[in-house]
Amino acid sequence: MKSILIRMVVAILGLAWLSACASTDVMETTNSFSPVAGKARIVLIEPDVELSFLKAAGVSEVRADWSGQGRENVLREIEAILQEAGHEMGVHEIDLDDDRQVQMVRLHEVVGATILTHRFMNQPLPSKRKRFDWSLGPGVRAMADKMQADYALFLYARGEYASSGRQALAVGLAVLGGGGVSTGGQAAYASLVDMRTGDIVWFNVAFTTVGTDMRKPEGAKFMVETILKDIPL
Amino acid sequence: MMAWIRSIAFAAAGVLAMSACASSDIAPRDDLDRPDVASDEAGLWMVMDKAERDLQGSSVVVRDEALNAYLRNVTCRVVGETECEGVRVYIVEQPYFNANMAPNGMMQVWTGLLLRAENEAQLAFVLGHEFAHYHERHSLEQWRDINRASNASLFFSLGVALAGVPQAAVLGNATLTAQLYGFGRDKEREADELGFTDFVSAGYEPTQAAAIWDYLIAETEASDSRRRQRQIARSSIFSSHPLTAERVETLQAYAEGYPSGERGEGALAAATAPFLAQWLKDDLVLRDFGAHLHLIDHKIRTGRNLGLLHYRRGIALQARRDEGDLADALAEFEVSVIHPDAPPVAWRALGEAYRRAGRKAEAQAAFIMYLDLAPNAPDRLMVESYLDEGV
Repeated sequence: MKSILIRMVVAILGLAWLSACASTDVMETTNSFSPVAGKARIVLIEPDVELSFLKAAGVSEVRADWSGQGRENVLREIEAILQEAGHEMGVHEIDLDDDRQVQMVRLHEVVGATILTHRFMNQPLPSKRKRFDWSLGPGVRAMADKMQADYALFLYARGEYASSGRQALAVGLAVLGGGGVSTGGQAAYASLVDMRTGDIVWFNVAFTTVGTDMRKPEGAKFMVETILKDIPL
Repeated sequence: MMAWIRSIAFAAAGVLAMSACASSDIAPRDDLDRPDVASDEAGLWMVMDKAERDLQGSSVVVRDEALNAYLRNVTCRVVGETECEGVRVYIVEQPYFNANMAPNGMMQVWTGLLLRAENEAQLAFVLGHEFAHYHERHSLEQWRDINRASNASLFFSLGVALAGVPQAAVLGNATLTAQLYGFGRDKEREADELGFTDFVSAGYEPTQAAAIWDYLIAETEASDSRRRQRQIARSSIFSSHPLTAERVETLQAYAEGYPSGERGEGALAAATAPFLAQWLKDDLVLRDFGAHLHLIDHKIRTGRNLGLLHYRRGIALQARRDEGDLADALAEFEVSVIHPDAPPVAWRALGEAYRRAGRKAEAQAAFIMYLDLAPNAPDRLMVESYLDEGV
């Protein structure tokens, strides 16, 4: 009985500790880069936010309403932070009829996924050792003129929120000595593209846990502040 | 503290209870409205909307206006004008026999299906079948079933979700999430039944529903791939997507008692003729010579596009290179060029085959014919150099 109690306390403490935690991993370009002097014009590409309900059985169900709410909250916080820093900020909805634009957004998605894959999934690329020279290429210049932007900021976020059954299961299994039952969390990455060169000049990944909830304004604020903390603007 | 333990036990019992629920039948769609934003269905739509946006930008989508208009017409004829408003048809250049419809109304028709359907009626039946999956909201049922079967392997970690989504959205997997595991037999049966009703009401020939599966079974039997051949045998017992004698028989039984209807053989052939060369080329990439030659022979029997078909038959034999294949290929090219629809490249292929066989004069004549028919051929200089060297 005593050992069960100890394990339970550990498990619960674990949850409590997790709830205040965030980890980030900032990457900056190793290409030559000089920030735009003074006030920069930043276009924020419509953030890709997908929030899901993590059910007891471990199935994750995308929720349209949460995702919409999360997107709104995140947008508001990013705008606030960048405006406070004195930059001019525009939000850009992707124009689906503009092939060039759609391709740029998709290219970024693929490049972002590639960076993540090789950074976090134990598949380091020998050619990228000690360098971070990812780029969308100079093809973005055409878009830069059209959008009147010095930088494009992309944000991609996923979140999972556990049902109470799932949380109980996690605690229960931890108590019984099992583990590895995720109770959800949030992951996001942001990248800043220099529209003069197409280079990804700054890239940050953040994992935050249960306590920070993008569906709520304060949770979104925490997430956005965490992820934009070292942005070179 | 005991209360804690009790509540945990309670929660665990709840989890177990959930996995034992029976499958529920969801009411069919009766309007064109989007689902309530707070529902699980809205989540499925959101994911599929994104997949659809990705598909729209993809180079595998066939954008030819005439072909798209044709397919839209057939679709609307089968599902009815009103329902058709909720359907968006995309023609996808993929050599496999496939069509699918996502819960948000995105329908994909793969060119491997358009290549294989013998007539418009067969195509219409498949479209009706896929539409039935959509109309009966099978994806949503499927999703809820998956949720009930507490399958830990379905859990994707956040890291994987972050990095994996763009890849998963790549075509072919665009049906991901909901249709990840294929529909069960009951849903396939239901879709067959409803698809059949729709396509017969639209005036199509009832026997053609079973005929498309008959053709597919025959092609599979001709396949070089043992694995593909075994699928027929296995699917009768275990597979959830039964392409089986049973399914064919059921469709044949449906057809009895209905007056005969329209086949639309000419209509489909005319709409797809401009793409036949490309689609056959795509199909050869699969390197399943048995199935590929079966398909070509089947098409040759219709008596259409003989110049092109014999040319492609020759190309397939050349690629296979079994004993005697090169000689047979030459014979195919000879037959091909007799027909008025033979592509100019058939003359070049014939010239090369003659050249390889040491028949110089004939090779020369064929190359000259090629350059006559295709004066702007990209390989003109090379062919001219053959001619200069006396072939």
